[in-house]
Amino acid sequence: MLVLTRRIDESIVINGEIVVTVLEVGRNGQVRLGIEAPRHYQIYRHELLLEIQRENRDALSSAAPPAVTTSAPGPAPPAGGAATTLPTADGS
Amino acid sequence: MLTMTKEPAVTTVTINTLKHGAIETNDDQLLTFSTPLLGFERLKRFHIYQTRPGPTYWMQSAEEQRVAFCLLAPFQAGLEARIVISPADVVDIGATGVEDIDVYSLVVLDRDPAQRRTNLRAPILACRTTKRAKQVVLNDPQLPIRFFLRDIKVMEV
Repeated sequence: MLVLTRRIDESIVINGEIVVTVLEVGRNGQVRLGIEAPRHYQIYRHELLLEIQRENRDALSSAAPPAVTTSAPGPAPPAGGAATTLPTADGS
Repeated sequence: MLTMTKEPAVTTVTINTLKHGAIETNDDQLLTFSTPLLGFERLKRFHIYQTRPGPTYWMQSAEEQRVAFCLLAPFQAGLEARIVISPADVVDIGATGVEDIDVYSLVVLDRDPAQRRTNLRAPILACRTTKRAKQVVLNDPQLPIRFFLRDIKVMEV
């Protein structure tokens, strides 16, 4: 891993077109970053991608018994929805 | 696992599915993922099929028989999720517009019915014309990664 030391308002440049600037460093260790990049770059918090990857794997595991059981709480769902019949885990 | 038989105009493929035995389809009906499913980067080609009418589907890897997912078509299921498809994603899968795109979400078929859920934050977009597909990660934090299906009156069969 490349390690660089930067201060507030200092930046790094990636590949000549992505500029990451340190905006604020909080006492709690939180760092605010500003990112300037062309629109076609998709920028996500790493933990979001890891969570989606985990959910994809759970979807696979549940389709191929034995199912993985999780108990993570979910956020409030969008409104609405009709009655839906789901297949069972054995594929019927 | 995939077996191909060549015919004059159409190439028919036989896909050995995890759940429902061998299924025949035309090669040009297989989806090709331009951006793969997170965690399944090796796998590019899938077949989406149904065993009964409704908003649920199966998505079987054409390259790895053990890889199959249950999908929900959230709009067919009546969900009012606000899934915004970006112009860049429309172009990426070769669609002419959003009306040329089918939207699916991956379902976790947990053995505990209360834990069955679908991921509305990272849906699959599939172009009906080009058969190109991708899993997109939407920037709307209101879309749940775990939308529990008990909330849409799921009925067990």
